[in-house]
Amino acid sequence: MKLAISSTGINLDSLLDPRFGRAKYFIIIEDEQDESKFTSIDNVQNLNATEGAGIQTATLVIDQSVDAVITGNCGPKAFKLLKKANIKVFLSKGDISISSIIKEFKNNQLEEITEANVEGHW
Amino acid sequence: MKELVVVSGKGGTGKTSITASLASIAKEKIFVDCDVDAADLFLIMNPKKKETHQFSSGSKANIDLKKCVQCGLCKNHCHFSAISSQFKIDHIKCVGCGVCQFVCSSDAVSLEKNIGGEWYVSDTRFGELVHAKLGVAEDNSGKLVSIIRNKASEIAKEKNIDLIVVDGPPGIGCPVISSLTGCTDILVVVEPTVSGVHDMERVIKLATNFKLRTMVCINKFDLNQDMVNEVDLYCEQKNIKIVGKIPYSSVFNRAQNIGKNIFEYISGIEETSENTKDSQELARILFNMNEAIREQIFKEI
Amino acid sequence: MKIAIASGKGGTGKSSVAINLSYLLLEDGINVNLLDCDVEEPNCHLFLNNNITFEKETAAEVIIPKINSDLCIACRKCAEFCKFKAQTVFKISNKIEHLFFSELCHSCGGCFLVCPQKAISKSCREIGKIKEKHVDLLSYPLLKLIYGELNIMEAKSPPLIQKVKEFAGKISEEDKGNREDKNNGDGKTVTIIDAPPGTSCPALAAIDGCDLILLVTEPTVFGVNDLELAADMVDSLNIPYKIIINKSDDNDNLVEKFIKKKNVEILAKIPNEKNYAKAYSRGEIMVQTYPEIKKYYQPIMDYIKKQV
Repeated sequence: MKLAISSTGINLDSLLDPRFGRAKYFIIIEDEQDESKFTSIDNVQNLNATEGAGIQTATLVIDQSVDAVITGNCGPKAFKLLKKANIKVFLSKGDISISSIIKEFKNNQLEEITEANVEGHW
Repeated sequence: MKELVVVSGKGGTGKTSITASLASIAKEKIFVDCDVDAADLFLIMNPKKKETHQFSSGSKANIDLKKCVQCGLCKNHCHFSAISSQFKIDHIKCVGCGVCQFVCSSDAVSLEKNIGGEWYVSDTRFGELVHAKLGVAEDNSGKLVSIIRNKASEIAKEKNIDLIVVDGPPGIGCPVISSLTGCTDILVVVEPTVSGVHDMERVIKLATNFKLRTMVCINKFDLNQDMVNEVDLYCEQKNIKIVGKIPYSSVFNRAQNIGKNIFEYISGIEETSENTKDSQELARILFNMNEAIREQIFKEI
Repeated sequence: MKIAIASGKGGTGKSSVAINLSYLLLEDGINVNLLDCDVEEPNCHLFLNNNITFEKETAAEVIIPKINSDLCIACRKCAEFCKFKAQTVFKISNKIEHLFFSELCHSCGGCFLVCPQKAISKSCREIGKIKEKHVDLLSYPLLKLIYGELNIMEAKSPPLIQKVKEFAGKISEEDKGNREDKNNGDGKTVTIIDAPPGTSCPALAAIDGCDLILLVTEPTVFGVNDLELAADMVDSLNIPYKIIINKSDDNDNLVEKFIKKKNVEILAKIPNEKNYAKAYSRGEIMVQTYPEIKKYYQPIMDYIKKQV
């Protein structure tokens, strides 16, 4: 499964960025079984966007044709977009590295959400 | 964490005075003033600002008249009549959509970031207050409301405070929707007048869309018994708890005019004063209302 | 002449002043178009429920984009252009998906212009209603009440306020000819606009383009604080304004301090009387129930009559 994980840094030791729309980076993993194949994408333009960060970030992730997103929080607009693109959304919490998140994902320890877990804003 | 928002639909029903009287509802709480374009809570709370932030609210167009060839395309395409015949932008009407920049034949239009106001985190004798000042004639109040509410819930999480009390704006539009999104409980302050009841019904209809727990408090209840009956009936049908009926009283204005909440004002007046009895009755009603609200907010569903 | 009744603070008595003033102008034979521009919570109609001779309701709509999927190539120029991020487009397994967030759209028309495929056409979305009512208060002339009612869950009121004003503008154009021909009244018409509270975009949309603003305040610390903000808003539009103290009592000096600073005139003071508040609470026109109130309105009437 191809994954996009919101991250505070550009490698697997980086910690999860709990924000989706205003995440600093996304780590893209081609297949969770082989985490050595990963790339990072910079989300800085959306991090600083005055509005619509969630919508733009969701578009960015959709363009990567991933199957699932792992993040801390996902608002209603971003969720609507990801759903439309058949991308699953999983939540993870706390100070946790990207490689540990992948492990948890493989062990089915992450919660998949069926609706936004935080409120949207204007 | 619970977040109680005080609203009314109609303005001037007593939201701010009642919010200030909720200061004793819990030992630890954070206050937010979401009436960002006519904020008054600070007049009672006397905040000491400890953080000031700028609020950037999108952008506004600017025409460089040196480059402008007066072709008129921008003016024709602007949906907001924001461009004058001298090709000056009316910043009040401009929404920063960028259409003028797109159609400009001489690259004379730029979009510049707009600072729409400020917001603050302050200390007060009642706890922390997050408040804001929207610039006069600015838009985007909904966004400013969501910024200050987010800040309050960040502080609450950090300090383990389980109650946020929000003084809401009047109306049912953008800043109200933004105040209600994601809160847990609302208190609707209604006055028993034809307009007060009409506006209460509209704001409760709005709250229904957010599936919020709703309470009602009738202010100036002795003004019109027929309208009070109407509110009673409405609330009974909708299964809404009425947490207090407050009499028409000049004590609110007198307290406000010396920067005190109602309890502070009443504990400060002389025993012999002719208003003592009425004031103490008012204090008792408000105290009971505080109890009823606390019970309602923190009860397990 | 267009007069807006405004105030920073809510509940100071805007609607009450607007209604009573309209009544007194009619009594003097002046035609009145009363525009209730507090579209989030319109109230004037609650006081003018009797003797309605004509009623009409129109949907108020804003323009939104409609995308023709056969022409769209998912180039995403529309999404990139939109400053409010109200729409986006993407391709999922060769199928083009559009997402539109109507609450973010400002109806600027930008997406229509940027689309290289001409795949976007104009569509409409209702945001509220415009209502027109003719009220026979004093057998003659008729009061024309025009007001907007914003749909619940609709965030933006300024577009509806503008539409109410445009709608009323058309009516008074039509009337101009009619009234003079039929020698109805003396042909003079005053437009009274009841503005929403606050000092941001809805209040501005209501008062913009008026000849005079009457700022209604009450003599309290909150009232004066918000009056200052409202005065700054009116100054930003360069419209002359006068002050009305409603619920006037022994604290009027709070307002007087302010007017010295600003060098502006207090045109009228309406006393704080529980009986007046009770008449208001029943939805009555106060000057009808308590004719003695007329004298407090006299300076406003004199001022307006001098202007028209």
